[in-house]
Amino acid sequence: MGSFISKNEFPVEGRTVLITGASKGLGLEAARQLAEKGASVIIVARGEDSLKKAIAYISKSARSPDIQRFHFISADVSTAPECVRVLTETIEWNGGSPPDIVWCCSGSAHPTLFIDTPLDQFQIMMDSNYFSCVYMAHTVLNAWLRPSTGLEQPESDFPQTARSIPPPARHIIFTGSFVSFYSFTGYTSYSPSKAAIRALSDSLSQEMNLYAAAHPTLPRVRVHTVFPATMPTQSLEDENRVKTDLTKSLEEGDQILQPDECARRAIRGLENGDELIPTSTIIRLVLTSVLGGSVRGGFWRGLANTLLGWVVMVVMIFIRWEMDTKVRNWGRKYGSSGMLKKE
Amino acid sequence: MGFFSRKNHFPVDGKTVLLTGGSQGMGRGLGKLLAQKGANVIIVARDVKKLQAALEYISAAAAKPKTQRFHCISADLTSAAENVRVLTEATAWNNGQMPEIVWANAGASHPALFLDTSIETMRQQMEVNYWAATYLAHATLKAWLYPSTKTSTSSSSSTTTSSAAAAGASSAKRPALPTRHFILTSSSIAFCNVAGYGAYGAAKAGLRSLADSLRSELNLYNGARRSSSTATGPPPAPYDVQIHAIYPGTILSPGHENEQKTKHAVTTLLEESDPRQSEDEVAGAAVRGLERGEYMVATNWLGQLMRVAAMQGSPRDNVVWDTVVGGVANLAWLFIGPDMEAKVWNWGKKNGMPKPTW
Repeated sequence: MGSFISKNEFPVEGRTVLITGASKGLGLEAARQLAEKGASVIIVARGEDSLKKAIAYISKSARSPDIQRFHFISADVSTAPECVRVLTETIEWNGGSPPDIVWCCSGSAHPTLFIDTPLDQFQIMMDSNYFSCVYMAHTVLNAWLRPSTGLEQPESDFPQTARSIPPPARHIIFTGSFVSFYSFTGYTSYSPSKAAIRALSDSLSQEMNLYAAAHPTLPRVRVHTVFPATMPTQSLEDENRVKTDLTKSLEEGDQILQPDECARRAIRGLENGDELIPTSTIIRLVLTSVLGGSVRGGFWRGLANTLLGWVVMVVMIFIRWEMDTKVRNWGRKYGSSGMLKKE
Repeated sequence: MGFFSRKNHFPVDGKTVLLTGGSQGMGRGLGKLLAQKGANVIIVARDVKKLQAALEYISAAAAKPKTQRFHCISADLTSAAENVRVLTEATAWNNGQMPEIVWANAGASHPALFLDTSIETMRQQMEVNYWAATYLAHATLKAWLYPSTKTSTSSSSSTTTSSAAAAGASSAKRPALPTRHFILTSSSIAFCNVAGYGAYGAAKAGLRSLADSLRSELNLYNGARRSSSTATGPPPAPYDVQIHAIYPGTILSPGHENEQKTKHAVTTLLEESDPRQSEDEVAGAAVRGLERGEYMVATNWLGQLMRVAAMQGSPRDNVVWDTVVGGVANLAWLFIGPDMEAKVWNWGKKNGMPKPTW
């Protein structure tokens, strides 16, 4: 609303948002909050029943119910053809235009010890966490950036005003995890998929500079990854059923965040223009120490992050050492199953 | 593991090493170096002709040609079953003993802009760089850590372990065999993925994450080995298991030549001042790091800096160095990061939209 201090880098009013993994948890809450902010929303998940309930919940929050539209698509986004179908249906529903924002929340975790994890679980996690992002990104970016596919809106639809304001950016958002940065016992088959998402996000973000500079009149594409804190959701319950007692003990004392608060923080980060978005204090601190070449939002913010990062780097030494000691002592005391002995 | 440690933490003389991706490039360099250091070497790759040529090259470097043995196995390591077969054959060839060192070195890069890369290629990059290593790790660690179970490929070691456990030996008296090593070859791209390496960088970052968490988990098994309680499940293996990961940069190899066919100009631009190493240089640096007892081994100065700038949750090899230099490197990123962004931007401005290659 004309603030000189901070510009909203993630305007959603009157725009269309496609969210996968949105029938529960973080995806559902993000969808609801974006509806509150005036977006039209399409949600994607596998179960039709939960999708129907979700749509009812989301649309109730619509700021302008007469203008905003809501839709759901039942699909399994862990395969490429399904992602293509989702986008095609979305474009059709959206009057021939691709969505402005795509948010990939679908994913799953199976936190058992590496050797105890069935091999098919590895594939399942890589497909539902990492490849679903790859497929969605591939199909959406093609629609946004390749005019020859016929799906892109011709440049003349973005009228050049006298002041030549560039059209609002388009956004693609992935979901990472604390274990993208810091993996430990029990997450060995899950964390690589989350580390891969972070790496993909970084390289895509760099590549988008190329397209943006080549076509300054087309909407820029911003690439983001949100790193959610632990949330008390259905997915967490499913995880905890297989999780080893050892992993549970390593996670004791973790900050737990309700999904709607997590979504709120994610959206705040997006509005701030951040690329790698932490949602809890611990994740924010870890992030400052691992940024490396990841985009950081200007020199002064980068410097502040670097200084904070130095402090965290020192703290991290103790955290890692303590965790390794815990695991070693557990092994000494309880053997190698990772489970407390059942009497 | 400090500045003054001279102990060799990676002795290979008389040991058997199973090495994948051993027919060319860094793998071939490693094979030769390990032969020179007295190891028996089994190399694994797909192409039989390349394997046989590499085998001759490697065995010619043997320090003790009369006692050292060399073997090659042709396999497609992107399947879990093939990895189990390779281990079984390797063990059988090695007189019924599992190799003490297993090195998942196989990998290949197909660099291109994300939109110029097909879905099939992106999956294939994960197959060859991540799954091959994961399946090998799964099969190897399972067999090493549970030698008395049926999934073991080594019959003689299981007898030894069962009788030791049955004797109710306390941790102090349980015989300890030399540490076994599982090594992953990742890449310095894992520390900072850049334009044009999308799927490859993601796979290598996945490997880094796998190594970090496996390193954490191995504490469990190594700790269990020292447990004085025998009522804690299956008897532990009589040796520690350690995992290491290598992070090379640019290597002048057949693989590198292949990359140049698809690599985008902007990626070449970003890499242009990176140090380049020959297969022998990179093998030497990798093994030296392992001998120093390092967990994360960079092979040149750039990899070192990139590593310390991205330490995050990984265990530190040298706490002081990693933290101090890491701090400096992080400061450097303030300038390097935006500089890389600008390079990519300017390329786009100059050259326009990349032509679709499909």
